[in-house]
Amino acid sequence: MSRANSKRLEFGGYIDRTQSLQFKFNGRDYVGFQGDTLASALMANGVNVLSRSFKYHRPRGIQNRGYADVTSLIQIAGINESPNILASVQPLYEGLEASSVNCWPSVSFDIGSIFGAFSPILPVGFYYKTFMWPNWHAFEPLIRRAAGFGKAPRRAPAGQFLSRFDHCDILVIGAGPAGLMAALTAAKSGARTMIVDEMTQPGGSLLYSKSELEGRFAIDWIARTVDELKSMDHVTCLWNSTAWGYQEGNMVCVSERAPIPEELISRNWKIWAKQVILATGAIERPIVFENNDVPGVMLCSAVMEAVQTYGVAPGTRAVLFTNNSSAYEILPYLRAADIELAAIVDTRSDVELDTVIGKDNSSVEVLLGASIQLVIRAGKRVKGVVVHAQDSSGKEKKGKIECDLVCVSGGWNPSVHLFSQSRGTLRYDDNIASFVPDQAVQATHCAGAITGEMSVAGCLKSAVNTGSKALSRIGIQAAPISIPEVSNGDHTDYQVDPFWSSTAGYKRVKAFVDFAGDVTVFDLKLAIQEGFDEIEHLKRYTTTGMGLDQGKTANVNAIGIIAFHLDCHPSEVGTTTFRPPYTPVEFGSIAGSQTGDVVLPYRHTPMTDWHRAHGAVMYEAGARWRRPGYYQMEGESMNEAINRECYAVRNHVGIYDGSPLGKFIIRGEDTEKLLNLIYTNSFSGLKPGQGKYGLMLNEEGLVFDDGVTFRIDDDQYLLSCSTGGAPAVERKLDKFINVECPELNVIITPVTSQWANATVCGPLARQMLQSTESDIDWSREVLPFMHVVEGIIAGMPVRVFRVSFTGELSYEINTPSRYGLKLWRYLIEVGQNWDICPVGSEANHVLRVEKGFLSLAHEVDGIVDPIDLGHGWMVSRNKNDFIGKRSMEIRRQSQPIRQELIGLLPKDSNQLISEGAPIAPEDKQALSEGFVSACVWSGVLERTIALGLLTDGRSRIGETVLAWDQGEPLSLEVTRPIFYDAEGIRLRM
Amino acid sequence: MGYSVEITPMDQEAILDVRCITPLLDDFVARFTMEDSPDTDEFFSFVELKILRLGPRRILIRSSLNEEYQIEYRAVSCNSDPQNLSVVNVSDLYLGIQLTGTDALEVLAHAVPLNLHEFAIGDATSTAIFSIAGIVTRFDEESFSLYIDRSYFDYVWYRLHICGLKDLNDHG
Repeated sequence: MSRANSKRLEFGGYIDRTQSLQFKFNGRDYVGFQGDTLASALMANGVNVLSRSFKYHRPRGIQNRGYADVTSLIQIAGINESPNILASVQPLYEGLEASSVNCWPSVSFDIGSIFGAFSPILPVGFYYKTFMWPNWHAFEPLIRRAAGFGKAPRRAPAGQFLSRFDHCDILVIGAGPAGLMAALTAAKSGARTMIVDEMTQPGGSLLYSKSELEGRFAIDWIARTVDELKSMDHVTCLWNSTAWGYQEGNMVCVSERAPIPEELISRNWKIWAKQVILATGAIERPIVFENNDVPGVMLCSAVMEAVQTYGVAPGTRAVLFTNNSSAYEILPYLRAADIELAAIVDTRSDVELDTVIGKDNSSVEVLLGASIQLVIRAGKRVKGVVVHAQDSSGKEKKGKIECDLVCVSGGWNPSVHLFSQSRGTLRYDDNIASFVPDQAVQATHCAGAITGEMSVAGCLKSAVNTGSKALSRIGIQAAPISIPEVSNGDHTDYQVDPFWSSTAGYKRVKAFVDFAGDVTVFDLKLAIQEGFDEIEHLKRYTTTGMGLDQGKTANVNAIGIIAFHLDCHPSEVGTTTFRPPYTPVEFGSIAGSQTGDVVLPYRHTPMTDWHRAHGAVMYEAGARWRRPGYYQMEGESMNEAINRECYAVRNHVGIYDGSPLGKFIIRGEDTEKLLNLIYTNSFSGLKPGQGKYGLMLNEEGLVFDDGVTFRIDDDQYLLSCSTGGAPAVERKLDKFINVECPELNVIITPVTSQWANATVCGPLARQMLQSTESDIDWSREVLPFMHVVEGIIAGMPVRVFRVSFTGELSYEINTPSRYGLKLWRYLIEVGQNWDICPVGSEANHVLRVEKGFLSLAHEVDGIVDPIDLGHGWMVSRNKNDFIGKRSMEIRRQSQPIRQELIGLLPKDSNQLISEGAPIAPEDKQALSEGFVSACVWSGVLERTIALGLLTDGRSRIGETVLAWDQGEPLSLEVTRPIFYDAEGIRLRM
Repeated sequence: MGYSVEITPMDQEAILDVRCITPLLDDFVARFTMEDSPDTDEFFSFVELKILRLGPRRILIRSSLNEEYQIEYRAVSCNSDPQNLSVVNVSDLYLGIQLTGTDALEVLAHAVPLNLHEFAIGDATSTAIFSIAGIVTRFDEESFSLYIDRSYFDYVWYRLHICGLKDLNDHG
């Protein structure tokens, strides 16, 4: 054994002493063993202080075990740097590097500990009362720096996070005696079973128990049971996996962590279970007394685990302080670790000493009806305790006992967090002085210590019964299973005295209720005095049970202390609602693999690779599509590229990728009725081959989307909508025909990606297309504006629509996507003779502003109706109804003057104005009359132009208004919202 | 240990999306697959069909791409009520990905929230694949096919490969 492992016992523990592991903590080298946690390895090396506390920067060591040890917070360094890891659950591995949190310059000398000296002026809620001038934000950065946890890593971890789904018949949470037994019951009955435990080794409290099952060590029973479970194909065992959230639908979130984070760090499971069995056990409760956070004060279960599981002696001379019978289980462990027991301090007066301590310990001083008042410290470690007791005459006496370890047990808190998250109710059980599950709301069952059952035999029996009940709920007959006999020290007669605190909670007394948030008895008392006497208010005001602790150790003590001060029973105080996550979960674990380039889904057209290869700068185009924004040539600026593309469309030929436009095939005898209901204008009498532009309103009578619909043949229509609006249009149509008007005989098939679209536009578009190998007659007579025709181009099937978004002669050529790239290349090749130019969405935006065409998210911002947009002519007066008709009419009656679409010409013809700039009079800047929806440089007009919405805009044409761009007033002349080819001659050519 | 799974793109298929108002669908399928139809022998001699039932009002008819014309023609011919039953060629809408191997189910469980343990051979369903609408079918114990909107193919392909990376521990 390394000399450094000075606290390591010669024998014992479930560690592999043949495999030593080098690790670093706070820059110093240490050695541990395979099977250690970081906490046990540090304890073995005599490291007392692991971190500093949240508020007062007090030194903190190991107090508890597993995820309840909220004071052992450390930061893992390296390529997978991670803050706020609990040392008690971090498996040790070769090369691990970790450091303390919330301290500077070091954990042993921390400047922040000065806050402890100022604690009388920093009580609970002090920041609400103190930092009011000039305002809270002036102080916030300093306070956040001074109080806190670890530091968020500056770079992304090298490893990967994943998330996945699963389903099972029975999900067992917790692999202690009850969990393993319940899982075995379910698995042997043939149910698909999953069992989850937060620790790397299953077994729970049995791992450090001296109980024997079926005449063998508990550890043997664990191994045999786990082997049996793993041998069954229909069983999944997840260790080192925390069930951290219990959602509706009996869905449980589980974070599975890699013991050694390398390529994969963690995987988040979403598990839907037909039945859930909570076998989450119970967490030992501290007792509140002065300085109860000094390193060396540990819960009995943590001491037992240190000795039995890791072969570490956490001290040399101990005092046991308890209020319940289970604490006496520690005695053989102390003997085994050669830890001298200086005294037993029990708050109860009626303890049968022979029964609980046995004859071997008869020399130990036992103080009944006594309590520890204060821990005396030397440096950063326990040196002794001050005990209050009564002598035989009932007279109070105070005594000092020297020790370096205080073993505390305040009873057990059933781990009811997940039950509460499932919306199950809790009740206070006087027998265990804590809360237990009461009424389940989902398919949830509880087994073992969570129900308040504290004996191993009782837990096993409860597990079999619960497992059988859960199985019967899903129609599975439980297979016969024998319950192992428990011998040797099973704790069958648990008794507890509800003793919460030995201090009255004076101002300077540091008696901690919540170690994670540094909440003291004084804080609770003060909050009650200030009127916070409801538990939910107290929780929020004091932060008790919030943060890392999540009520694991703090809640019941806090409730007991509150009840004492309010002079009521703890059941009358009640509990707060537990919320996910049960333990800290990395954001990465929740995000899974959805990071970096795939943080959001993205969509490609068949031509995307071509665009990229030709200098396209890709833009998000809505509905997850990425489209070319502009094609930048070498040495060209963005504006130059856009101007070049606009010039091509206005003067010869441009081509753009219109594939993402939403497309739906509509069939059925009521298609015309549907179109007349969803559009404001009439679609009656549309002949095959014809199309129409339409405006869609929402139920509030506001413009929701626009697009064109063509009648392809007698019984087939193609509805086209905006790219970004396609998912919403699909949902709206679906809802409309399935929920609101199910009587409509209509069938809708979304076909957006079925078709690739290359749109050829410009005055020479027809000439260019006439030179393609095609059977299509491109003439205006055969294929006029707003018509569709099917045909072949260069052997590829196409459907050509005469629609224009640029104001020029335009052909939207659609082909099945498999031909998309081939068609695009062919058109580019043919178009060379006409100087064809690929065009991006930026140029499209300029061209449509010149024409005053509408754009979603610019002019159509969710608060305008067709009349506002100057499209009153599209609102049919002959139709009885369409979606939004009544709402629009009612609103217009009460609000005749509204913001209307107008054109704007900056007085300075070179001035560009930010989109969104408010329009307001100079003397009433706060009274916005509208805003600039789009402003572009128009090459064809050689000036800047803009569109906007202005109150009563159409009657103000010719006026000069002010747009406020970043506080600067800019003069604009109000015009009609069309700047180019107002008669529409060019697009109808 | 990496997952034992092969993730491969599938050849493009001919796919018809048939939607209708019940009970027309059953009649249509019966006519479409009717053995005593005059041209049945000729049709089935070169067409290998797979019909995926996605619900009471929707099926997908799959075949190889070079049979696209034949199955579309037959579907249109068998459609006695085109006003109430819609046949749409969506061969270019979907691209397929196949997962094959002993861990195919494990990898797929990263993508879809379905209960794959109860997803029998021959089953097909519309579901979310990495939160994107798609279709999953199981065609044997260790093989699944995903049909994804072709515009999302790269995204789904990339994410599936990350999921195939590595197992965290021995799940028993």
